[in-house]
Amino acid sequence: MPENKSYETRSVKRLEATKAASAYQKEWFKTLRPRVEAGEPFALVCADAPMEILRAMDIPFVVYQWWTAICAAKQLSGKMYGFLRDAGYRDDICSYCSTAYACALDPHPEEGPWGGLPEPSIIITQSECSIMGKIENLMAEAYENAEQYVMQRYYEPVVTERWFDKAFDDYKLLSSGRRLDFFERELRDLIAFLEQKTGRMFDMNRLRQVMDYVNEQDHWYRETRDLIAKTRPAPVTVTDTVNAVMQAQWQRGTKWAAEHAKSLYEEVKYRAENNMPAVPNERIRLMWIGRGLWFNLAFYNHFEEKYGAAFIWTMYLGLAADAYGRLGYEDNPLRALGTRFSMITDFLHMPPWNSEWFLKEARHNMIDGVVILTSENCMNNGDFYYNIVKTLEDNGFPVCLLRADPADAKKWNQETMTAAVEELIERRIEPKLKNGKDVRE
Amino acid sequence: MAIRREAMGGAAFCRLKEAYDGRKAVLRRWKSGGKKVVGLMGYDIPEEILLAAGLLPFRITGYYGGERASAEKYLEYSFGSVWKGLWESLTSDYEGLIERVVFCSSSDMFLKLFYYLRALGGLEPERRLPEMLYLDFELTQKTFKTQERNERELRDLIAAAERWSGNAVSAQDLRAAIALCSEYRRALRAFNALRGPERCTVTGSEALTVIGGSMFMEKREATDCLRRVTEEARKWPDAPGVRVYYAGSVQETTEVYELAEQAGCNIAGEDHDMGRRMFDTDVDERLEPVSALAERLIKRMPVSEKGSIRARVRSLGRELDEVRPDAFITFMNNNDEAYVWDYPSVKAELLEKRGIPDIVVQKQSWPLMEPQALRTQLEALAQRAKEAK
Repeated sequence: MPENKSYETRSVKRLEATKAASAYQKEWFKTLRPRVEAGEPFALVCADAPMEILRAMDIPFVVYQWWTAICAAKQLSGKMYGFLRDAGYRDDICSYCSTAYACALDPHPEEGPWGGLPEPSIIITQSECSIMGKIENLMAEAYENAEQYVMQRYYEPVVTERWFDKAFDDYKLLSSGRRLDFFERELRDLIAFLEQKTGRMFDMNRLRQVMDYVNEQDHWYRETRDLIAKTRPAPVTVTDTVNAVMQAQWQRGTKWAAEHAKSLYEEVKYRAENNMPAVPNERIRLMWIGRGLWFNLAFYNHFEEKYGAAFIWTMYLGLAADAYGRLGYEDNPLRALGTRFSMITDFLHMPPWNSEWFLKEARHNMIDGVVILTSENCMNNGDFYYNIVKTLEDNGFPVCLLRADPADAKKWNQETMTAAVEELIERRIEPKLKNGKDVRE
Repeated sequence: MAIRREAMGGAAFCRLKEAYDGRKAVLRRWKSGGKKVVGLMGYDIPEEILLAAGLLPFRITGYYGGERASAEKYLEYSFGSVWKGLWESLTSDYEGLIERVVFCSSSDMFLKLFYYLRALGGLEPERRLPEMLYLDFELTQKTFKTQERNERELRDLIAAAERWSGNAVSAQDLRAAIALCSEYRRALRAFNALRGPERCTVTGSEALTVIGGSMFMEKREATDCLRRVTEEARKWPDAPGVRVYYAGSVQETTEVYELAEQAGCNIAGEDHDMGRRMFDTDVDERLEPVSALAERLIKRMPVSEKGSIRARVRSLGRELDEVRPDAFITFMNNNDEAYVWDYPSVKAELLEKRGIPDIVVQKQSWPLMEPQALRTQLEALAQRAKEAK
């Protein structure tokens, strides 16, 4: 049974694109289960896995961290963590990754979101965190017919300044030749595994087509991000874009996803051109850094009426705009793809890549204040927040840090968290606005 | 119980304890003696390569002298006690004393510390941070691909060591350094045998002191001291307490072991790198040196963070066969919790089958937040173990 909350958890949704994405996902899931039951391969993968390879081989997949988000949004986290507790595991750590394992322990999986997660035959690991690997071990054991394939990660101490200027236009500048070689080999090994496991042959031309769709999809995300950035008041907030983008990213590399991204842009453009602001009294533009607050997306809307404060930025649209597309991949799509799936962790979680990008986005989106969610029960949590906060604050962006769990509602304190954001607005942002000064001066 | 009078009566033990307690003094002495010191941030960096180049490896451990102001300022909640201690050492306590540091991928946190320190250098260029090298070993998968990758990383270390020392490193130099370290590990194992199930004359805290102290000595002196302390320890009285195997967060001081001893437990074996894991695997001296060093990385006992659950159960099973403990502790610092995911399998497949009572100690920090509560837990474990016997 979904949990009941004493506060509103359903966010405002203004866009047809959001509804269309949800409807498509539900339909996709409805067709997925019979396909899997009929013997088709089905992969459960981590968020960093090279999904484009699976797409090119027509192997359906679910990203298990995204599944966590769906369970949280459906207020099913408590039920899931109960399964972990009953099996002897802690129910208060690693929640972002352990939910899919909890689903494997559910005696009635069909009661899960959208008819439940079908039983996977393949689990692909490319863990940015060692604990993820252990949880994936457990998933592979729990899903009796699943085979776990572990991809290696490889870091190197090469810093690429302003990665966001290079990722799309010239991906070869992102990394050393050694790292490019390494990930190309990892992808070739994965392809060999998938071919053997599924009996399907990989086709490089099909991958090129997938990469074309990804580029097209990301083009529209860039256009959308840029349009929101320059339109004040903003035509949409994060509660409009988060689901629209995330659900379409799930289908990244398909014609549908590229067309959906275009429709999202057109809808946002229509609102911008027809003076349809999301928050008509917008005075303050806020940026949300960290994982989405899936069980309580309404939190983002909470500050709109009282303060005219609109959350207009999350990493979900920002990253889709800057990090996924690759030009000039045609001669070797695997090499280009390697820089995408291997480096997103750096871009988001490691200094100086992350702070440099957040600052660029804060400036670009005319942000007045920043809220950072640090996931307190995640062992891998830690993005050098000191550096992020200092970089933003030194450049005139006031920051507030929230410590919470984006997947598990039981430790969320609505009152304390609301008060923290209100304090940011009242004590840091409002005084500067009243003095007629832009906080970034 | 702490360190016993009989142990303190031996010259070799006292020398090892001096090194164990005075790590910073050792570093200062090496520096002032003109030695080229390289700090080690990671549990899998082959010292052999540094020694072959004429460099002195110095194992960096955490700061345990009081408040960790730098760590509190710069690091977030997810950094547990050990990691905060290491940060404090590098950015504060040892600042200016270490010019070069090698990091490796023994834990994801070493990667974070590496990236954070590099970024700190950008934020505060006036800081005297060391030159840093990161070695990204693969430590989970045991494959040919892993072997090739790790050999490549080792060659990077050789190149850096040659640059830092100004000495070319030949295969002969490597073989000599490997032989030196093998001798050292054999001496450690001979000492550790005195913690065995037949007759145990060494307490856990004495063992930590000896093993840890030897890390802060030059290898020849360490080996010599270990041989002498082994002779001394044969004459020590039997170590009292229930034999306990410890799996969990690395213990860089004897605080927890001493508390266990006060509660009637004696930690007779452990899976961390200030104890048995230090010397669990030899380098095969018959192989080409770089290949042999890379092979050791694959063969070592998997730490929880880098081992699959199956690999951990297998390796802990072998440990239990050898140590034959009466009880088992799983001890976790806050946010050093990989063991959580091993534990139900370890419990069901090893502890319950063998009838070994156990406790799980969680969310610990340094200094211990509630030592009395921990002591009570350990006392209850000792009682259960006695009853089970």
